Amino acid sequence: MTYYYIQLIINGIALGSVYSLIALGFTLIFSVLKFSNFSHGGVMVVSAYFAYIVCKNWNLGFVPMILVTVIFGGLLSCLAQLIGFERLRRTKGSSMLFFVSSSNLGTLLQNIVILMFASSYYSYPAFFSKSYFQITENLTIAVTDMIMLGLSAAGILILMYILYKTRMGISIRALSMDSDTAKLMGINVSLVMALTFFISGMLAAIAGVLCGMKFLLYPQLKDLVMKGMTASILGGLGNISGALYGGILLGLLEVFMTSFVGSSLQPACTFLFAIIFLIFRPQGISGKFVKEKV
Amino acid sequence: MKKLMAMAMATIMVLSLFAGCGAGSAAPAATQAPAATQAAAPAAPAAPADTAAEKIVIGGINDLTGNRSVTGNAINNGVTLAIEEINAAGGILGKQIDYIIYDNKNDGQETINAYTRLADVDKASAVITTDSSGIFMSLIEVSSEKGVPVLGMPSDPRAVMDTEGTGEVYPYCFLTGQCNAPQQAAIIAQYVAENTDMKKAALFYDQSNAYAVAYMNGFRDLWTSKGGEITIEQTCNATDQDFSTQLSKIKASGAEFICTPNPTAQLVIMVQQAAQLGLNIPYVGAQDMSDPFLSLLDDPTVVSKAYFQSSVYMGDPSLDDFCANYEARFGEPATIKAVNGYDSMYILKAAIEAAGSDDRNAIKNAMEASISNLDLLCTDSYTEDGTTHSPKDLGMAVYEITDGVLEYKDYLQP
Repeated sequence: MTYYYIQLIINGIALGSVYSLIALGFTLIFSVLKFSNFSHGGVMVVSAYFAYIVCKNWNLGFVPMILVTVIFGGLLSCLAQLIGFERLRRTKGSSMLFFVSSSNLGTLLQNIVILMFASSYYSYPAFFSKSYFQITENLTIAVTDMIMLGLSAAGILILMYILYKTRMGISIRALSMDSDTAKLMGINVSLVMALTFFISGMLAAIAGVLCGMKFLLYPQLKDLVMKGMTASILGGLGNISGALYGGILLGLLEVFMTSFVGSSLQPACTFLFAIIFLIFRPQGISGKFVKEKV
Repeated sequence: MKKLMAMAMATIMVLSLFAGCGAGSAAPAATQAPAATQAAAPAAPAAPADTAAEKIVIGGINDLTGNRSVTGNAINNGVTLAIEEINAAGGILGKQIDYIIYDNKNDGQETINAYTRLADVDKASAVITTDSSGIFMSLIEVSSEKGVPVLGMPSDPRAVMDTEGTGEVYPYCFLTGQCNAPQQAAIIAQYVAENTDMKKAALFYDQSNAYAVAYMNGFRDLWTSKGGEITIEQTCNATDQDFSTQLSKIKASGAEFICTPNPTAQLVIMVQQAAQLGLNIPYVGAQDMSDPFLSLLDDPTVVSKAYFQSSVYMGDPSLDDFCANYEARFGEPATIKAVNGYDSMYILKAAIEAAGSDDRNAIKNAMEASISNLDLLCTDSYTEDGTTHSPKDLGMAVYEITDGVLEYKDYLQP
């Protein structure tokens, strides 16, 4: 029985790493523009299908495929920003418009995938000779889960470095505080915005590909962004490191709730727990949150 | 420049709304564009009465953009292909078919709205819809009121008959192309009981899926009556993507196999997660284990042993032409759901021809009395039973997977 609970913890952390990876890109935009970017899920799912096409036509291995896809995801995110948010930002559009625009962009991207790949499921080729590691006779961990956890942690470290140790990071943080003052200080606001979305798109692309590997390629992968948003709220809205903590907490909650109360009651119990948690700790696990526009 | 940007934004938002809100986004005719494209088309006005009189209007209601869009699009593509073939061959009773498809987004209310519009505005003679039992059941009441025959593949017998009450069929609801879920479960349970040494079953099913629940009820009854044991029952929901907790419990239960009638996407995820947990166990499943199930697995050999029944085997040479035409038309390989849609359209064609008109009641009566010995993809002697509104004596092929290789075993009747 002990092994069973240890396996549950492993499963929870593995599931949480999925949510963390999604939450990371979501949180980055939130911390700068202070709105929930639901087009993140659309970039995720389009990038995941792009990676599938790349694999199918060019027969690339895992690392080259990821590299090509993250560039695509970054550019797609920049395009989304240009179409959906740039004008709103310049005209200081209402916060609600940011929300509506991001939601519509996400749906648009998802529906492009549905139109192109509507009537069948797809999956990536097997990239690794072994799909899991045997820790002990009764304990295992999947290779994709380990990669996700590793990439989530690495992503946070790299983001923290960029935000706090580089010139670009200082620009991003200045922009998040006051875009007008940042502009007066000589910061090219449009360029910094584009770079922020590029990084967010890269993270969305990684999350999309890994979710496609862990689950299956189908258009509704986009809906996982809601779990990413929940994870970022639990971790502390807009807090980069909180994305990791929130994701892991949500993953553990779901796994243990499924075990104790069953899958039918699990969503209700998980969200009840999350509500109670936020009543006592509204700032999330990390203890800091950024005030939202919407 | 500002005006240009505003117009671009508005256009994108409007397009996005239409793409996301398929219900009501009727495509004017099946021959104009692939079914998937129709889902995103803006709403089209109903055909004028004089034009409609020269055509037979067939309605389609399927999930084109919701969480069952893969299945819904496959069924819709199958119907579309059949209609294109029929129209190219001169239509039915000398009239061309006008196919109007609505997206129900896998939602019962959207389905009722679409059906009502097809009945009242588009003046459809019949409707071909989903394989989702729960969604199909939302049409029971409104179809009795509007009187437009509905053909679909809902495997839950409650979709076409009041099994828990009077035992009467719902007058305008028809199951076509495959036998119902308890019959499917009985076929595979009997095969496993008689051909393997396995006794301990773990049941794992999507509790929000009416087909899976009906299938599992049938399997449970027959398996225990054959002396089999059920060690554990685990459930999941339609949107779940992590089954590791349920699989860990099954692993600890000592089950010798997992019986799971879940949809393809859930099956693929479940089998891969079971392999990652080191759970090497046989599976007993439904026809979602046929193509493209094995091709979606990273490593098909993780399915060391599995048994399932299917209304048709996609590798059958008699389906070669259909598969080639389908792939040429839609750019994707055909699936069983596409076969179901294709067959349903040809069943409807036979009913309209037997009725001698596109009158709704005449078609309904023909569905009950005149569908016999049709040569379809699923069988070369298809008969619709007017007393049950379901296929008569339609069997299913039983298949076995060994180390990722599919093999036809037998053709059994319920």
